[in-house]
Amino acid sequence: MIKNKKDFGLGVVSILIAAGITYASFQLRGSTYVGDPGPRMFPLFGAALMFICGVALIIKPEKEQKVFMTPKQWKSGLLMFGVYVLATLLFYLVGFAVTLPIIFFILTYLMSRLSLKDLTKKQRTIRSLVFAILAGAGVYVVYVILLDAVLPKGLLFTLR
Amino acid sequence: MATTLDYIVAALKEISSVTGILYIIGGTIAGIVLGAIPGLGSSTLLVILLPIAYKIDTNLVLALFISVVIGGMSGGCIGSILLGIPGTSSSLCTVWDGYALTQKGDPVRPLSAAVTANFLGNVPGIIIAIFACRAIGTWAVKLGPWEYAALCFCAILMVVGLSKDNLAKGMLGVGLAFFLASIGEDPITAHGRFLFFDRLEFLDGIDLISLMLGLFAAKIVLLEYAKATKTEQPDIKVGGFKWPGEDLRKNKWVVVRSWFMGLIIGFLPGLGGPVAAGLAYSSEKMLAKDKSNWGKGEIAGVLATETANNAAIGGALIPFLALGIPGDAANVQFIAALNVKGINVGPMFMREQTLIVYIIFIAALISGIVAMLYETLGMKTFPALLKIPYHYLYSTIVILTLTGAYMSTGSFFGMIIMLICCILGILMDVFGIPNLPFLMAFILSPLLELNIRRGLNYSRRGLAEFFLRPISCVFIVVGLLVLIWGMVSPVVKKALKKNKTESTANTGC
Repeated sequence: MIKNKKDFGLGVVSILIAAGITYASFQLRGSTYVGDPGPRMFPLFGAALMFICGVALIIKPEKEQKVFMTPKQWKSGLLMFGVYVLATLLFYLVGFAVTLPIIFFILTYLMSRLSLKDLTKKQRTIRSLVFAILAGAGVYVVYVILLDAVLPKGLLFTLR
Repeated sequence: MATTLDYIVAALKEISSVTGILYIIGGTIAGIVLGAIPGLGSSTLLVILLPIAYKIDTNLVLALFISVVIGGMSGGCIGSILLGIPGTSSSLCTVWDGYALTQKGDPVRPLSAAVTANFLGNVPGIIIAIFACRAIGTWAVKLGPWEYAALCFCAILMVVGLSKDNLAKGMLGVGLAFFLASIGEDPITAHGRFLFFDRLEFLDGIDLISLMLGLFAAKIVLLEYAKATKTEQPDIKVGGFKWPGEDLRKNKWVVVRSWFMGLIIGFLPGLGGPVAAGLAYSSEKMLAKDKSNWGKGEIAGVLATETANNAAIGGALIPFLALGIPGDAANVQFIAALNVKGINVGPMFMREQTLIVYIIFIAALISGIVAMLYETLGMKTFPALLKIPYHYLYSTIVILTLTGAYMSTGSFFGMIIMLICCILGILMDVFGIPNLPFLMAFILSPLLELNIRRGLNYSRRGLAEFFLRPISCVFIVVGLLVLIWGMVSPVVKKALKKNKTESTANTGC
C-alpha cells in the first residue's frame, strides 16, 4: 500500500519531468569550444537531481501527509486566481487605465467579505467602489505620471 | 588607495540628501508595518518594489531596500507580542514569551525589550559586516572560476543541508531551478535553449522579477484569501516605551551570546533570521538555570530571539557583498534589484562597486536608528498597525504585482510568467518543496554554470581541477559534508533518543 500518495505522486511526476528535460537536452546543439561540455550539461544536471530525488520520494516518502487546504479553500483560491487571469486579459484588451478601477473594485469587494463582516452588501459595495476609484487614480498617477512607466495600452483602446 | 573611512564619508554624501533620508525613513516605516502584519513580511514589499527599481537612482533603490529589510525584521516582533502570531518567521520564538507577557497584561515590557534588542542586534552586526566585507572582498578577487563555482555549489548544498525541510524535496527544488535557469541563451555558445513554442521571449530566460512576484506576492495574497485567516483584530491598548534597563542588566550575556550566534548563522548561506532566532532561543533556554518560566513569559526569550534575528542581517550581508552569495531571501531580492540596474554581483563586486557596498551599510545603520526611534516614540501606534484594513492592502498588492510583472519585461510575457510562477509556488507549498533552496539555486545557477564551464575550458585536467585546487576542494568538501550531515543527522538523533529512552527505562527498572 502507498503510505503517502502525495509524495509518491510527486516522485513519479519528478521522474517524468526529468525524462522530458533529458530528451529535450539531447536535442540541443553541442559546443565547439575545447573542454566545454556544452549547453546540455546544466539542464542534464538538473534532470539527474530531479530523477534521484523522485526515486527517493517514491522509496522513502514522508510519514505525515498534511491536508494543505480544504475543498472550500481551494475554491476560494481558484476564484482569486481567476481574478489574476481576468486582470491580465483586461490589461491586454482594454489597457492599464481602464483595468485599474475594475480590478481594484473586484479585489476589494471580495476581500472585504472577510474583514468587514458587519457591513451590509450595499455598504461594502459603496466602500469598495470609492476605494477602487481613489486607489486606481493614485496608482495611475504614481506609475504613469511620476514614474513615466511603459504600461499596456490595450488592444481595444489606446488609453494609458 | 581609498580607506574604509573615505568610503563611509562618500556613502554618507551620496545618501544624505532630503530624498535619500526620506527613502530610508519611508522604507524603514513601511518595512515595520509590513513586518508587523502576519503573513506578509517585508519580502513582499521588496518584491513589489523591484519593478520600480528601473525608474529610481541605483543608490536610492539600495538604500530603500535595506531600510525595508531592517524595518521588516524590527517590526516582526509586534505581531508576535501583541497577537501571538509572528509577523515574520524570524520572530516565531518571540511569540512564546512575548505573547505570554501580553496575556498577563504587560505588553510594554516585551515590546520595549524587543525594540531595544532589535537595535542591539542590528547596528553592531552591520558595523562588523563593514570591516569583514573589506577583508573578505580583498581575498575574493583572487578566486578563479574553479573556486567560484565550488563556492556557489557549496552555498546551494548548505541551504539544502542546513534547512530543516525534507532533503529530497529541497534537492528536487534545486534540480527544477537548474532547469528553469537554463532556459534562454546559453552563456558560452549563445545558442537558444528550451525556447518553448519557438517564442523568442524565452531567449532572455525566465525573468527573475516576474518569478519572484508570482512565487511570493501573488501566491501569498491568494493563499491568505483562500485560507481566510484575516479577520478583524482585537482591540489592544499599549502604553509608551519603557527603557528595559533592569531586563538588559540581568540578561546581558544572553544578548551577547545571541548576537554572536545571529551573526554567525546569518553568515551561512540561506539560513538567516529564522534559524538564528530559533537556535539562540533554544540554546539560551538550555543554558538557563531556571527553565520553568520559559515559554510562559521569560523576557530573556524575547531578548535572545530579537537580538539574534537582527544580528543575522549583518551576518548575511557579509557573503552577499563580499562574495556575491546571498545570505538570505532578502539578499536574493537585492541581487534582482542590482540586475535591474545592470550590476552583476560576484567576487569582484566589492572591488568594482565599493561605493554601492558602503551605501548599503550606511543606509542600514541609519535605518537601524530610524527603526529604534520610530518604535520607541511610536509604540502606542503599534495596535493600529495590526488593524490596517486587509481588503485595501491586499488588493493594492495584487495590482502592484500585476503591473510590476508587465513592467519587468515590458510585455505580457512577464505577466504570464508571473501567473505560471504563482501556480508553481502553490504546488511547491502543496508538496512541501521549500522555496529558499529553489530560489537560491535559480539565482546562483547562471554563475555556477558559467564558472564550471569556464573552469573546464581553461583547465587541462578537466573536472579534477576542481578537486586539485585547495580552496575549491575545501568548498566542495564542506558543501558535501553539510549535505551528508543533513541526511545522517535525523538518523543519529533518532538513535540517540532511542538509546536515552532505553537507558531511562533500564534505570527505572
